[in-house]
Amino acid sequence: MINHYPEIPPRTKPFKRAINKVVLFVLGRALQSLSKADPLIRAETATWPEGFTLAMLVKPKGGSMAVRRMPDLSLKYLGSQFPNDEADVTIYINEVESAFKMFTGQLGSDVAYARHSISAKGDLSYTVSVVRVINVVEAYLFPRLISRGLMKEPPPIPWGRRQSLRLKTYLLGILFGI
Amino acid sequence: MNFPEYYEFSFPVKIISGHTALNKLPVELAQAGLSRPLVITDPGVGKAGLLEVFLNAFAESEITIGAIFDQTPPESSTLVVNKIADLFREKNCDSLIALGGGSVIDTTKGVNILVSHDSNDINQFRGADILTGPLKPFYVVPTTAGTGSEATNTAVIQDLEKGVKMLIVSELLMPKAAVLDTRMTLTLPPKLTAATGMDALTHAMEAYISIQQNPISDVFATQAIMLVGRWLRHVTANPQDKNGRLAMANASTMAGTAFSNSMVGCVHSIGHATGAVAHVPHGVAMSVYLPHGLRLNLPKAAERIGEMLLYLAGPEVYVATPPEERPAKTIAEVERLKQDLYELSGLPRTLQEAGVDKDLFEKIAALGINDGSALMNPVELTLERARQLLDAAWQG
Repeated sequence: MINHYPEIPPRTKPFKRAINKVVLFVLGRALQSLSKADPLIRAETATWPEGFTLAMLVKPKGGSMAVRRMPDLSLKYLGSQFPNDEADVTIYINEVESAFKMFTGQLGSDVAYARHSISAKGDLSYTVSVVRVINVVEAYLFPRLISRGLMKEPPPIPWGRRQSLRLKTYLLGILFGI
Repeated sequence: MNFPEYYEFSFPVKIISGHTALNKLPVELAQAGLSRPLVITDPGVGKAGLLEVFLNAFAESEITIGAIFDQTPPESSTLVVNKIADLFREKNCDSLIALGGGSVIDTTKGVNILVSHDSNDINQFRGADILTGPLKPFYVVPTTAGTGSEATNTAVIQDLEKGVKMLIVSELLMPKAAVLDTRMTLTLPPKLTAATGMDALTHAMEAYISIQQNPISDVFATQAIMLVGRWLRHVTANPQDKNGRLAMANASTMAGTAFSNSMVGCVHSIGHATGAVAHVPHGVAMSVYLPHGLRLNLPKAAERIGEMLLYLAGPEVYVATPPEERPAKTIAEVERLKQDLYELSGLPRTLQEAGVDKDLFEKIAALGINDGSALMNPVELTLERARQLLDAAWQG
Protein backbone atom coordinates (compact mmCIF):
# COMPACT_ATOMS: atom_id res chain seq x y z
CA MET A 1 0.00 0.00 0.00
CA ILE A 2 2.76 2.40 1.01
CA ASN A 3 4.29 2.03 -2.48
CA HIS A 4 1.29 3.80 -3.92
CA TYR A 5 2.38 6.92 -2.13
CA PRO A 6 6.05 7.34 -3.01
CA GLU A 7 8.16 10.26 -1.82
CA ILE A 8 8.57 12.97 -4.39
CA PRO A 9 11.92 14.70 -4.16
CA PRO A 10 12.09 18.26 -5.58
CA ARG A 11 12.39 18.40 -9.34
CA THR A 12 15.35 20.16 -10.89
CA LYS A 13 15.57 23.01 -13.37
CA PRO A 14 19.12 22.49 -14.60
CA PHE A 15 18.90 25.01 -17.45
CA LYS A 16 17.75 27.88 -15.27
CA ARG A 17 20.13 26.92 -12.50
CA ALA A 18 23.01 26.88 -14.98
CA ILE A 19 22.05 30.28 -16.41
CA ASN A 20 21.79 31.71 -12.90
CA LYS A 21 25.26 30.44 -12.03
CA VAL A 22 26.73 31.88 -15.22
CA VAL A 23 25.13 35.27 -14.59
CA LEU A 24 26.35 35.29 -10.98
CA PHE A 25 29.87 34.79 -12.35
CA VAL A 26 29.33 37.53 -14.96
CA LEU A 27 27.97 39.86 -12.28
CA GLY A 28 30.94 39.23 -9.99
CA ARG A 29 33.46 39.82 -12.74
CA ALA A 30 31.54 42.87 -14.02
CA LEU A 31 31.46 44.37 -10.52
CA GLN A 32 35.22 43.83 -10.28
CA SER A 33 35.92 45.38 -13.66
CA LEU A 34 33.48 48.30 -13.54
CA SER A 35 34.38 49.29 -9.97
CA LYS A 36 37.86 50.17 -11.20
CA ALA A 37 36.59 52.76 -13.65
CA ASP A 38 32.98 53.81 -13.19
CA PRO A 39 32.68 56.93 -10.97
CA LEU A 40 29.07 56.16 -9.96
CA ILE A 41 30.04 52.76 -8.56
CA ARG A 42 33.14 54.20 -6.92
CA ALA A 43 31.06 56.93 -5.27
CA GLU A 44 28.96 54.19 -3.71
CA THR A 45 31.84 51.92 -2.67
CA ALA A 46 33.49 54.95 -1.07
CA THR A 47 30.68 54.78 1.53
CA TRP A 48 31.33 51.08 2.25
CA PRO A 49 33.94 50.18 4.87
CA GLU A 50 37.23 48.78 3.61
CA GLY A 51 37.06 44.99 3.55
CA PHE A 52 33.25 45.05 3.38
CA THR A 53 32.08 41.81 1.79
CA LEU A 54 28.89 41.45 -0.19
CA ALA A 55 27.58 38.01 -1.09
CA MET A 56 24.68 37.08 -3.35
CA LEU A 57 23.17 33.63 -3.22
CA VAL A 58 20.32 31.84 -4.94
CA LYS A 59 18.49 29.67 -2.40
CA PRO A 60 18.80 26.87 -1.61
CA LYS A 61 21.78 25.77 -3.70
CA GLY A 62 21.45 27.76 -6.89
CA GLY A 63 24.88 29.37 -6.96
CA SER A 64 26.53 32.32 -5.31
CA MET A 65 29.12 35.04 -5.75
CA ALA A 66 30.87 37.47 -3.43
CA VAL A 67 32.87 40.67 -3.77
CA ARG A 68 35.08 42.55 -1.31
CA ARG A 69 35.63 46.29 -1.17
CA MET A 70 39.36 46.99 -1.56
CA PRO A 71 41.37 50.00 -0.27
CA ASP A 72 41.32 51.64 -3.74
CA LEU A 73 37.46 51.57 -3.75
CA SER A 74 37.37 48.76 -6.29
CA LEU A 75 35.58 45.47 -5.71
CA LYS A 76 37.40 42.15 -5.83
CA TYR A 77 35.47 39.14 -7.06
CA LEU A 78 35.86 36.34 -4.51
CA GLY A 79 34.40 33.53 -6.59
CA SER A 80 31.40 31.27 -6.10
CA GLN A 81 32.54 29.36 -3.02
CA PHE A 82 32.86 32.20 -0.51
CA PRO A 83 31.17 31.18 2.77
CA ASN A 84 28.21 33.54 2.98
CA ASP A 85 28.22 33.36 6.80
CA GLU A 86 31.38 35.44 6.68
CA ALA A 87 29.93 38.18 4.45
CA ASP A 88 28.90 41.52 5.94
CA VAL A 89 25.75 41.52 3.85
CA THR A 90 24.28 38.50 2.09
CA ILE A 91 21.50 39.00 -0.42
CA TYR A 92 19.44 35.86 -0.89
CA ILE A 93 17.30 35.34 -3.96
CA ASN A 94 14.65 33.06 -2.56
CA GLU A 95 13.89 30.79 -5.50
CA VAL A 96 15.20 29.80 -8.89
CA GLU A 97 12.49 31.43 -11.03
CA SER A 98 12.91 34.89 -9.50
CA ALA A 99 16.66 34.60 -9.85
CA PHE A 100 16.28 33.63 -13.51
CA LYS A 101 14.01 36.61 -14.12
CA MET A 102 16.42 38.98 -12.38
CA PHE A 103 19.44 37.62 -14.19
CA THR A 104 17.85 37.73 -17.62
CA GLY A 105 16.66 41.32 -17.42
CA GLN A 106 13.01 40.61 -16.66
CA LEU A 107 12.90 41.74 -13.02
CA GLY A 108 14.57 44.73 -11.37
CA SER A 109 16.09 44.68 -7.88
CA ASP A 110 13.54 47.01 -6.27
CA VAL A 111 10.54 45.16 -7.69
CA ALA A 112 12.14 41.85 -6.66
CA TYR A 113 12.38 43.20 -3.13
CA ALA A 114 8.78 44.44 -3.28
CA ARG A 115 7.70 40.92 -4.27
CA HIS A 116 9.64 39.31 -1.41
CA SER A 117 11.82 37.52 -3.94
CA ILE A 118 14.86 38.84 -2.09
CA SER A 119 15.81 38.63 1.55
CA ALA A 120 18.94 39.96 3.15
CA LYS A 121 21.12 39.11 6.10
CA GLY A 122 23.36 41.63 7.82
CA ASP A 123 23.48 45.39 7.98
CA LEU A 124 20.54 46.55 5.88
CA SER A 125 21.78 50.14 5.84
CA TYR A 126 23.98 49.18 2.87
CA THR A 127 21.14 47.65 0.88
CA VAL A 128 20.09 50.82 -0.95
CA SER A 129 23.66 51.57 -1.96
CA VAL A 130 24.11 47.97 -3.13
CA VAL A 131 20.96 48.24 -5.25
CA ARG A 132 22.29 51.45 -6.85
CA VAL A 133 25.54 49.66 -7.71
CA ILE A 134 23.66 46.72 -9.23
CA ASN A 135 21.55 49.16 -11.25
CA VAL A 136 24.70 50.72 -12.69
CA VAL A 137 26.12 47.29 -13.55
CA GLU A 138 22.84 46.32 -15.24
CA ALA A 139 22.93 49.56 -17.21
CA TYR A 140 26.26 48.42 -18.66
CA LEU A 141 25.43 44.75 -19.13
CA PHE A 142 21.97 45.07 -20.67
CA PRO A 143 20.87 47.12 -23.69
CA ARG A 144 19.23 50.40 -22.66
CA LEU A 145 15.81 49.15 -23.80
CA ILE A 146 15.97 46.33 -21.23
CA SER A 147 17.81 48.11 -18.40
CA ARG A 148 15.29 50.98 -18.45
CA GLY A 149 12.57 48.58 -17.34
CA LEU A 150 14.64 47.25 -14.45
CA MET A 151 14.99 50.44 -12.44
CA LYS A 152 13.08 53.60 -11.57
CA GLU A 153 15.38 55.66 -13.78
CA PRO A 154 18.61 54.84 -15.59
CA PRO A 155 21.81 55.98 -13.88
CA PRO A 156 23.36 59.10 -15.46
CA ILE A 157 26.09 57.42 -17.54
CA PRO A 158 27.32 59.42 -20.57
CA TRP A 159 26.89 57.59 -23.90
CA GLY A 160 30.61 57.39 -24.65
CA ARG A 161 31.49 55.98 -21.26
CA ARG A 162 28.69 53.45 -21.43
CA GLN A 163 29.91 52.07 -24.77
CA SER A 164 33.59 51.99 -23.89
CA LEU A 165 33.17 50.45 -20.44
CA ARG A 166 30.60 48.00 -21.76
CA LEU A 167 33.10 46.81 -24.35
CA LYS A 168 35.88 46.60 -21.80
CA THR A 169 33.69 44.72 -19.32
CA TYR A 170 32.56 42.13 -21.84
CA LEU A 171 35.94 41.64 -23.55
CA LEU A 172 38.35 41.96 -20.66
CA GLY A 173 36.41 42.13 -17.38
CA ILE A 174 34.25 39.06 -17.70
CA LEU A 175 36.60 36.90 -19.73
CA PHE A 176 39.90 37.75 -18.08
CA GLY A 177 38.95 39.41 -14.78
CA ILE A 178 40.62 42.69 -15.76
CA MET B 1 -3.97 52.31 -13.22
CA ASN B 2 -2.05 49.08 -12.63
CA PHE B 3 -2.96 46.05 -10.60
CA PRO B 4 0.10 44.45 -8.99
CA GLU B 5 1.36 41.43 -10.90
CA TYR B 6 2.33 39.86 -7.60
CA TYR B 7 2.05 40.83 -3.95
CA GLU B 8 2.09 39.42 -0.44
CA PHE B 9 0.07 40.62 2.52
CA SER B 10 0.40 39.43 6.08
CA PHE B 11 -1.51 40.58 9.14
CA PRO B 12 -1.83 37.96 11.87
CA VAL B 13 -2.63 40.48 14.64
CA LYS B 14 -5.93 40.32 16.48
CA ILE B 15 -7.26 43.82 17.19
CA ILE B 16 -8.99 44.42 20.52
CA SER B 17 -10.36 47.96 20.45
CA GLY B 18 -12.49 49.80 22.98
CA HIS B 19 -12.66 52.35 25.76
CA THR B 20 -11.79 49.61 28.29
CA ALA B 21 -10.36 47.02 25.89
CA LEU B 22 -7.48 46.23 28.23
CA ASN B 23 -9.85 44.36 30.54
CA LYS B 24 -10.03 41.63 27.87
CA LEU B 25 -6.29 41.01 27.71
CA PRO B 26 -6.18 38.51 30.62
CA VAL B 27 -8.84 36.44 28.85
CA GLU B 28 -6.75 36.45 25.68
CA LEU B 29 -3.74 35.16 27.56
CA ALA B 30 -5.72 32.52 29.40
CA GLN B 31 -7.29 31.27 26.16
CA ALA B 32 -3.81 30.93 24.69
CA GLY B 33 -2.79 28.81 27.69
CA LEU B 34 -0.51 31.52 29.09
CA SER B 35 -0.23 32.46 32.74
CA ARG B 36 3.03 34.34 33.35
CA PRO B 37 3.74 37.29 31.04
CA LEU B 38 6.73 39.62 31.32
CA VAL B 39 5.61 43.24 30.98
CA ILE B 40 7.96 45.71 29.30
CA THR B 41 7.28 49.42 29.68
CA ASP B 42 9.01 52.76 30.29
CA PRO B 43 9.13 55.26 33.17
CA GLY B 44 6.69 57.65 31.44
CA VAL B 45 3.94 55.03 31.41
CA GLY B 46 4.19 54.63 35.18
CA LYS B 47 4.22 58.39 35.74
CA ALA B 48 1.10 58.83 33.63
CA GLY B 49 -0.71 56.30 35.85
CA LEU B 50 -1.15 53.86 32.97
CA LEU B 51 0.59 50.99 34.75
CA GLU B 52 -2.08 51.17 37.45
CA VAL B 53 -4.82 50.92 34.82
CA PHE B 54 -2.96 47.99 33.30
CA LEU B 55 -2.54 46.10 36.58
CA ASN B 56 -6.18 46.69 37.50
CA ALA B 57 -7.20 45.01 34.26
CA PHE B 58 -5.56 41.82 35.55
CA ALA B 59 -7.51 41.82 38.82
CA GLU B 60 -9.50 38.64 39.46
CA SER B 61 -7.78 36.87 36.57
CA GLU B 62 -5.64 33.75 36.57
CA ILE B 63 -2.66 35.58 35.22
CA THR B 64 0.39 36.35 37.34
CA ILE B 65 2.62 39.09 35.96
CA GLY B 66 6.01 37.37 36.01
CA ALA B 67 7.88 40.68 36.20
CA ILE B 68 7.65 44.27 35.03
CA PHE B 69 10.64 45.92 33.39
CA ASP B 70 9.83 49.63 33.52
CA GLN B 71 13.14 51.22 32.54
CA THR B 72 13.06 50.96 28.74
CA PRO B 73 15.04 53.92 27.36
CA PRO B 74 13.73 56.19 24.54
CA GLU B 75 15.80 54.18 22.02
CA SER B 76 15.99 50.42 22.39
CA SER B 77 19.48 48.96 22.66
CA THR B 78 21.25 45.62 22.68
CA LEU B 79 22.19 46.06 26.36
CA VAL B 80 18.60 46.57 27.46
CA VAL B 81 17.30 43.77 25.24
CA ASN B 82 19.84 41.34 26.73
CA LYS B 83 19.04 42.46 30.26
CA ILE B 84 15.30 41.94 29.78
CA ALA B 85 15.85 38.58 28.08
CA ASP B 86 17.76 37.42 31.19
CA LEU B 87 14.88 38.66 33.37
CA PHE B 88 12.40 36.68 31.24
CA ARG B 89 14.41 33.49 31.78
CA GLU B 90 15.01 34.07 35.50
CA LYS B 91 11.33 34.66 36.14
CA ASN B 92 10.20 31.69 34.03
CA CYS B 93 7.85 33.85 31.96
CA ASP B 94 5.88 32.33 29.12
CA SER B 95 4.88 35.42 27.11
CA LEU B 96 5.60 39.12 26.56
CA ILE B 97 3.47 42.25 26.84
CA ALA B 98 4.71 45.59 25.51
CA LEU B 99 3.02 48.51 27.26
CA GLY B 100 4.29 51.71 25.66
CA GLY B 101 5.25 53.47 22.44
CA GLY B 102 7.56 52.60 19.57
CA SER B 103 10.71 52.07 21.63
CA VAL B 104 9.03 49.76 24.14
CA ILE B 105 7.44 47.74 21.34
CA ASP B 106 10.72 47.47 19.40
CA THR B 107 12.54 46.45 22.58
CA THR B 108 9.96 43.75 23.24
CA LYS B 109 10.31 42.44 19.69
CA GLY B 110 14.07 42.24 20.24
CA VAL B 111 13.62 40.43 23.57
CA ASN B 112 11.23 38.00 21.92
CA ILE B 113 13.84 37.05 19.33
CA LEU B 114 16.43 36.37 22.03
CA VAL B 115 14.21 34.37 24.39
CA SER B 116 12.63 32.38 21.56
CA HIS B 117 16.01 31.45 20.08
CA ASP B 118 17.76 31.19 23.47
CA SER B 119 20.40 33.66 22.34
CA ASN B 120 22.22 36.69 23.73
CA ASP B 121 23.31 38.16 20.41
CA ILE B 122 20.65 40.08 18.51
CA ASN B 123 23.26 40.92 15.87
CA GLN B 124 22.98 37.47 14.30
CA PHE B 125 19.31 38.07 13.47
CA ARG B 126 19.86 41.33 11.54
CA GLY B 127 18.31 41.35 8.12
CA ALA B 128 15.10 41.09 6.14
CA ASP B 129 12.98 37.93 6.11
CA ILE B 130 15.66 35.67 7.58
CA LEU B 131 14.24 35.17 11.07
CA THR B 132 12.87 31.71 11.78
CA GLY B 133 10.06 30.87 14.16
CA PRO B 134 8.08 30.23 16.14
CA LEU B 135 8.53 33.11 18.59
CA LYS B 136 6.98 33.43 22.06
CA PRO B 137 3.42 34.77 22.32
CA PHE B 138 3.61 38.54 22.36
CA TYR B 139 0.96 41.21 23.00
CA VAL B 140 1.05 44.98 22.57
CA VAL B 141 -0.76 47.75 24.40
CA PRO B 142 0.27 50.95 22.60
CA THR B 143 0.30 54.17 24.61
CA THR B 144 0.73 56.48 21.61
CA ALA B 145 -1.28 56.67 18.41
CA GLY B 146 1.20 57.02 15.59
CA THR B 147 4.10 54.61 15.31
CA GLY B 148 1.89 51.69 14.34
CA SER B 149 4.60 49.39 15.72
CA GLU B 150 1.89 47.14 17.17
CA ALA B 151 1.08 46.13 13.60
CA THR B 152 4.48 46.12 11.92
CA ASN B 153 7.05 43.50 11.03
CA THR B 154 10.03 45.65 11.94
CA ALA B 155 12.27 46.20 14.95
CA VAL B 156 15.11 48.68 15.28
CA ILE B 157 17.63 47.97 18.03
CA GLN B 158 20.69 50.13 18.64
CA ASP B 159 24.11 48.66 19.20
CA LEU B 160 25.49 51.41 21.42
CA GLU B 161 29.02 49.97 21.47
CA LYS B 162 29.32 49.97 17.68
CA GLY B 163 27.11 53.03 17.21
CA VAL B 164 24.84 51.36 14.65
CA LYS B 165 21.13 50.79 14.37
CA MET B 166 20.22 47.20 13.64
CA LEU B 167 17.17 46.60 11.54
CA ILE B 168 15.27 43.34 11.69
CA VAL B 169 12.34 42.74 9.34
CA SER B 170 10.17 39.64 9.66
CA GLU B 171 6.45 38.97 9.83
CA LEU B 172 7.21 36.74 12.83
CA LEU B 173 7.78 39.92 14.84
CA MET B 174 4.10 40.81 14.75
CA PRO B 175 2.22 40.35 18.02
CA LYS B 176 -0.66 37.95 18.60
CA ALA B 177 -2.90 40.85 19.55
CA ALA B 178 -2.87 44.64 19.82
CA VAL B 179 -5.04 46.16 22.53
CA LEU B 180 -6.27 49.65 21.61
CA ASP B 181 -7.62 51.04 24.86
CA THR B 182 -8.79 54.65 24.93
CA ARG B 183 -7.39 55.21 28.41
CA MET B 184 -3.84 54.60 27.17
CA THR B 185 -3.75 57.71 24.96
CA LEU B 186 -6.06 60.10 26.85
CA THR B 187 -3.18 61.80 28.64
CA LEU B 188 -1.09 62.53 25.53
CA PRO B 189 -0.49 66.30 25.28
CA PRO B 190 -1.85 68.09 22.17
CA LYS B 191 1.51 68.61 20.44
CA LEU B 192 2.48 64.95 20.82
CA THR B 193 -1.01 63.93 19.70
CA ALA B 194 -0.60 66.05 16.57
CA ALA B 195 2.91 64.79 15.83
CA THR B 196 2.08 61.10 16.27
CA GLY B 197 -1.12 61.56 14.24
CA MET B 198 0.91 63.03 11.39
CA ASP B 199 3.25 60.04 11.68
CA ALA B 200 0.25 57.76 11.14
CA LEU B 201 -0.93 59.85 8.18
CA THR B 202 2.55 59.65 6.64
CA HIS B 203 2.62 55.87 7.06
CA ALA B 204 -0.73 55.59 5.29
CA MET B 205 0.00 58.03 2.46
CA GLU B 206 3.44 56.66 1.72
CA ALA B 207 2.11 53.10 1.84
CA TYR B 208 -0.61 54.07 -0.65
CA ILE B 209 1.87 55.32 -3.27
CA SER B 210 4.68 52.84 -2.58
CA ILE B 211 6.08 50.50 -5.21
CA GLN B 212 4.99 47.64 -2.94
CA GLN B 213 1.40 48.93 -2.67
CA ASN B 214 -1.30 46.29 -3.07
CA PRO B 215 -5.12 46.25 -2.94
CA ILE B 216 -5.30 44.98 0.65
CA SER B 217 -2.72 47.42 2.03
CA ASP B 218 -4.71 50.11 0.18
CA VAL B 219 -7.78 49.29 2.24
CA PHE B 220 -5.89 49.83 5.48
CA ALA B 221 -4.12 52.93 4.17
CA THR B 222 -7.24 54.69 2.91
CA GLN B 223 -9.20 53.96 6.10
CA ALA B 224 -6.33 55.32 8.15
CA ILE B 225 -6.19 58.48 6.00
CA MET B 226 -9.94 58.93 6.43
CA LEU B 227 -9.78 58.58 10.21
CA VAL B 228 -6.87 61.02 10.48
CA GLY B 229 -8.68 63.50 8.20
CA ARG B 230 -11.79 63.31 10.36
CA TRP B 231 -10.32 63.11 13.85
CA LEU B 232 -6.79 64.47 14.20
CA ARG B 233 -7.74 68.15 14.44
CA HIS B 234 -10.60 67.31 16.78
CA VAL B 235 -8.50 65.22 19.16
CA THR B 236 -5.67 67.75 19.20
CA ALA B 237 -8.22 70.41 20.21
CA ASN B 238 -10.13 68.07 22.55
CA PRO B 239 -7.62 65.65 24.11
CA GLN B 240 -10.22 64.10 26.42
CA ASP B 241 -12.53 63.03 23.60
CA LYS B 242 -12.75 59.27 23.97
CA ASN B 243 -14.17 58.46 20.56
CA GLY B 244 -11.56 60.60 18.86
CA ARG B 245 -8.77 58.95 20.81
CA LEU B 246 -9.98 55.50 19.90
CA ALA B 247 -10.37 56.49 16.25
CA MET B 248 -6.79 57.78 16.15
CA ALA B 249 -5.50 54.62 17.86
CA ASN B 250 -7.24 52.61 15.14
CA ALA B 251 -5.87 54.90 12.42
CA SER B 252 -2.37 54.34 13.73
CA THR B 253 -2.75 50.56 13.74
CA MET B 254 -4.29 50.54 10.27
CA ALA B 255 -1.55 52.77 8.90
CA GLY B 256 1.01 50.47 10.54
CA THR B 257 -0.60 47.47 8.88
CA ALA B 258 -0.53 49.22 5.52
CA PHE B 259 3.12 50.18 5.61
CA SER B 260 4.21 46.92 7.15
CA ASN B 261 2.99 45.33 3.92
CA SER B 262 3.87 47.99 1.37
CA MET B 263 6.63 50.07 2.99
CA VAL B 264 7.03 53.79 3.36
CA GLY B 265 9.05 56.13 1.16
CA CYS B 266 11.17 59.25 0.92
CA VAL B 267 9.46 61.17 3.75
CA HIS B 268 10.65 58.45 6.09
CA SER B 269 14.08 58.23 4.43
CA ILE B 270 14.79 61.90 5.04
CA GLY B 271 12.85 61.88 8.33
CA HIS B 272 14.94 59.06 9.79
CA ALA B 273 18.11 60.89 8.74
CA THR B 274 16.84 64.14 10.26
CA GLY B 275 16.15 62.32 13.51
CA ALA B 276 19.63 60.81 13.55
CA VAL B 277 21.52 63.98 12.56
CA ALA B 278 19.43 66.83 14.00
CA HIS B 279 17.49 64.94 16.71
CA VAL B 280 14.11 66.10 15.44
CA PRO B 281 11.31 63.92 16.88
CA HIS B 282 10.05 61.45 14.30
CA GLY B 283 6.44 62.69 14.18
CA VAL B 284 7.57 66.31 13.78
CA ALA B 285 9.86 65.35 10.90
CA MET B 286 7.06 63.40 9.22
CA SER B 287 4.72 66.37 9.46
CA VAL B 288 7.30 68.80 8.10
CA TYR B 289 8.29 66.61 5.13
CA LEU B 290 5.01 64.97 4.12
CA PRO B 291 3.70 67.52 1.57
CA HIS B 292 7.17 67.93 0.08
CA GLY B 293 7.60 64.17 -0.21
CA LEU B 294 4.27 63.88 -2.01
CA ARG B 295 5.31 66.69 -4.37
CA LEU B 296 8.59 64.89 -5.09
CA ASN B 297 6.59 61.82 -6.12
CA LEU B 298 4.17 63.62 -8.42
CA PRO B 299 5.99 62.59 -11.63
CA LYS B 300 5.35 58.89 -10.90
CA ALA B 301 2.37 58.82 -8.51
CA ALA B 302 0.14 61.80 -9.34
CA GLU B 303 -2.95 59.68 -9.93
CA ARG B 304 -2.69 57.87 -6.59
CA ILE B 305 -1.86 61.09 -4.75
CA GLY B 306 -5.03 62.54 -6.27
CA GLU B 307 -7.06 59.52 -5.15
CA MET B 308 -6.11 60.13 -1.52
CA LEU B 309 -8.06 63.42 -1.61
CA LEU B 310 -11.29 61.44 -1.29
CA TYR B 311 -10.18 59.96 2.02
CA LEU B 312 -8.39 62.96 3.46
CA ALA B 313 -10.88 65.72 2.59
CA GLY B 314 -14.11 63.79 2.04
CA PRO B 315 -16.36 63.14 -0.97
CA GLU B 316 -17.65 66.72 -1.36
CA VAL B 317 -14.18 68.18 -1.82
CA TYR B 318 -13.14 65.26 -4.03
CA VAL B 319 -16.09 65.61 -6.38
CA ALA B 320 -15.77 69.39 -6.51
CA THR B 321 -12.13 69.10 -7.60
CA PRO B 322 -11.41 68.35 -11.29
CA PRO B 323 -9.35 65.13 -11.66
CA GLU B 324 -6.26 66.93 -12.95
CA GLU B 325 -6.25 69.20 -9.89
CA ARG B 326 -6.69 66.44 -7.30
CA PRO B 327 -2.99 65.64 -6.74
CA ALA B 328 -2.21 69.30 -5.96
CA LYS B 329 -5.36 69.56 -3.86
CA THR B 330 -4.33 66.53 -1.77
CA ILE B 331 -1.01 68.20 -1.03
CA ALA B 332 -2.81 71.47 -0.25
CA GLU B 333 -5.06 69.60 2.20
CA VAL B 334 -2.02 68.17 3.97
CA GLU B 335 -0.59 71.70 4.18
CA ARG B 336 -3.89 72.93 5.60
CA LEU B 337 -3.87 70.15 8.20
CA LYS B 338 -0.33 71.13 9.18
CA GLN B 339 -1.35 74.76 9.54
CA ASP B 340 -4.35 73.85 11.71
CA LEU B 341 -2.22 71.61 13.94
CA TYR B 342 0.33 74.42 14.26
CA GLU B 343 -2.40 76.76 15.45
CA LEU B 344 -3.89 74.15 17.79
CA SER B 345 -0.70 72.74 19.30
CA GLY B 346 2.36 74.57 18.01
CA LEU B 347 3.49 71.58 15.90
CA PRO B 348 6.35 72.89 13.73
CA ARG B 349 5.51 73.39 10.05
CA THR B 350 9.02 73.84 8.72
CA LEU B 351 12.57 72.73 9.42
CA GLN B 352 13.27 76.27 10.53
CA GLU B 353 10.55 76.04 13.17
CA ALA B 354 11.82 72.60 14.16
CA GLY B 355 15.21 74.19 14.87
CA VAL B 356 17.22 72.35 12.22
CA ASP B 357 20.50 73.99 11.26
CA LYS B 358 20.90 74.40 7.47
CA ASP B 359 24.53 73.32 7.79
CA LEU B 360 23.27 69.81 8.55
CA PHE B 361 21.41 69.46 5.24
CA GLU B 362 24.26 67.78 3.37
CA LYS B 363 24.69 65.18 6.10
CA ILE B 364 20.94 64.55 6.30
CA ALA B 365 20.66 64.17 2.51
CA ALA B 366 23.61 61.75 2.31
CA LEU B 367 22.19 59.60 5.10
CA GLY B 368 18.62 59.82 3.82
CA ILE B 369 19.27 58.43 0.35
CA ASN B 370 20.69 55.28 1.95
CA ASP B 371 17.70 54.66 4.20
CA GLY B 372 15.96 51.39 3.35
CA SER B 373 12.61 53.12 2.86
CA ALA B 374 14.02 54.93 -0.21
CA LEU B 375 13.95 51.62 -2.05
CA MET B 376 10.14 51.48 -2.32
CA ASN B 377 9.66 55.20 -3.07
CA PRO B 378 8.12 55.66 -6.55
CA VAL B 379 10.67 58.26 -7.65
CA GLU B 380 14.39 57.51 -7.26
CA LEU B 381 15.64 59.48 -4.26
CA THR B 382 18.86 61.01 -5.55
CA LEU B 383 21.15 63.27 -3.56
CA GLU B 384 19.98 66.24 -5.60
CA ARG B 385 16.30 65.51 -4.94
CA ALA B 386 17.00 65.00 -1.23
CA ARG B 387 18.67 68.43 -1.15
CA GLN B 388 15.71 69.98 -2.95
CA LEU B 389 13.30 68.38 -0.48
CA LEU B 390 15.28 69.78 2.45
CA ASP B 391 15.41 73.26 0.93
CA ALA B 392 11.66 73.16 0.30
CA ALA B 393 10.98 72.02 3.87
CA TRP B 394 13.14 74.76 5.35
CA GLN B 395 10.62 77.52 4.82
CA GLY B 396 7.55 75.41 4.06
